[in-house]
Amino acid sequence: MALLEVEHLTVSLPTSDGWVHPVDDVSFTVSRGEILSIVGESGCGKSTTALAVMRLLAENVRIAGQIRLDGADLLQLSEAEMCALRGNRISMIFQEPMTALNPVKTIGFQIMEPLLVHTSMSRTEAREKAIDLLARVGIDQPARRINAYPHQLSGGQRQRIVIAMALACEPDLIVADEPTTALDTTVQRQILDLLLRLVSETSIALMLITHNLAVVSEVADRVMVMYGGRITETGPTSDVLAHPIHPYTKGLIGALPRADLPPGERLVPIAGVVPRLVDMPSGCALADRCPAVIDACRRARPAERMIRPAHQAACIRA
Amino acid sequence: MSISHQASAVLSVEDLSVRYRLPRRSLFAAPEWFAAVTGATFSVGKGASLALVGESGSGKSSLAKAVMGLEPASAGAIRLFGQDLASLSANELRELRRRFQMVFQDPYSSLDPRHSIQRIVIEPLRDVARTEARERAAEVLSHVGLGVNDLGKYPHQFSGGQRQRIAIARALVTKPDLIVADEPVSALDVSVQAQVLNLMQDLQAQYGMAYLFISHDLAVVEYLCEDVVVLYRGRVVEIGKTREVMKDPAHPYTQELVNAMPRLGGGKRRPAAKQQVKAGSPDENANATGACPYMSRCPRAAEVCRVAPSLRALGNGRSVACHLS
Repeated sequence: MALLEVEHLTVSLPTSDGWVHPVDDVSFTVSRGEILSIVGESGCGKSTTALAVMRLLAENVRIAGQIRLDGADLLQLSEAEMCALRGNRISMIFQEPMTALNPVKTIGFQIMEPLLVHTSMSRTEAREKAIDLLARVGIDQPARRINAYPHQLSGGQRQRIVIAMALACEPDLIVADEPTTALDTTVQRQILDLLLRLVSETSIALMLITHNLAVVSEVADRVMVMYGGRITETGPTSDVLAHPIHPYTKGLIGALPRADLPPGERLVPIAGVVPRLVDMPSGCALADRCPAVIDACRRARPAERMIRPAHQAACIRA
Repeated sequence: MSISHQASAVLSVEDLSVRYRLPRRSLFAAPEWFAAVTGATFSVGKGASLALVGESGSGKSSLAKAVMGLEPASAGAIRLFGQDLASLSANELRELRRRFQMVFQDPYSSLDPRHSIQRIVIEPLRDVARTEARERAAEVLSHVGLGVNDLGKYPHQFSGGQRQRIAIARALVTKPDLIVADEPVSALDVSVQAQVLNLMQDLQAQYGMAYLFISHDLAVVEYLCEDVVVLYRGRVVEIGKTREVMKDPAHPYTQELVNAMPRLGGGKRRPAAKQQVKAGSPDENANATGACPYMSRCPRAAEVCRVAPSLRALGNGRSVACHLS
């Protein structure tokens, strides 16, 4: 059994034009020791999926379906039970380390906080553990740095602190939402290496949300491409990127400037724009932007089908 | 650099330094300065495209601001179309601004939300008659893929990519010879980024203007710019043809940058051995001690690096500031 099993997850949001669905009937799993990447453009529902798993969405949002962690449905838990899980068995890494950290508390306090809340550790033990964690995420002189404030650290170091906080209680699942997007390329490389090392050393399951296909290519075991709140393609990373099936995945790859592009070769943008949630087509969400569209695409929403082993796509033309 | 090359250059930056005053420690303390750019020299030819790359804090945006005349140079000179920027009066500078325009990173904050698209696009055309200005605005909008009927709309009615096209149209409307673009596509989604990059390429082919393109994304730079200047802590560490620099980086910092670039289709990386990062930001004293600013991060650092290297030519348009390469 996979650690995290998400089934028929639908997130509904009330608007003045009626209910819209930023996440629309999404099912996937993440196993221990696995990195699953969710990719797509802004507004495709990837962050909303992450926040739904953490149950951090606003009160007025409706969540339907099942989100099972080790078989237990998170959607059935009370808020108090969920609080006991967050930062403990499941934790989250956000994009902006400066806003994820409290500027008026030392980093030691912030790493110790989940330990003091979720475990029976004393302050001394928690402090020891925090120093350990700082060393583990690659902070030099951890015993001294533990008293530093966030503004005394660089962006990359702050993201390491956020990762240390997420690791504190030895979680089963980490949800990372664009963890390297705000960082410089060289720092991004270090943070990705750190995440890869942590997943290979422990049996953490990592759900990595990103818009960067090159990052996916280097880090993820499996990739899930989302568009218009739906999954368009899932499969092993190398297979999906080398042999994409869905026109949207092909479009994302074709639009990417890459080092191996022959000189003079033009990028191929995806035509049109992402439809607004209130105007989501009833058939395939990509229909208006797809070069391979036929009438049947607009009639019904395409189901996900297994095209190759472990490789699914939701496209009737595949 | 030959005289003829300088004469044909749209922009030439000579030994430029830009510094910012730091807050005083006390009322009577002597002011302290932060050197954002130190001794940068490069030039952009007519119709050429040059990229400035480097990490945050490398001085690329300070350089762009200095070139636009938005930040005074503390030393060195900026020549635009042969004229020294510092010697121009405010009126002369305003006159010259027609010929060099800027596109900013965030199309949400660079367009005034209370102005119509027409007002935004014709703003640089102050002394042009209204009907002609309107015609010019309609013309540039059609070049960036928008229509006459968009003139009366407001920024909030457009997506991020469309807004960036409007910002480009505003830069284009004076038919400039140089466009300075500071991270113009980094806030955009990949499909939209491709549209804007293609557009910038088409416009250059059509109008022949030069680009000074600031980016942290080497893949984008390689796609759009023939030449590249790599900055580290305010100093130029390498200059050359983008493709050659990417294929065979000479400076250890450029090597670090190129190696750090995530690549599509390279396969999953094996987790690297554990690294320790040094506490605090490195090299803060490099300017004071006169050592190579990259020394404390450099895997090849040696005794000679205690004296900062100057840029030397390797031939074929390539220069590098490193004793060891």
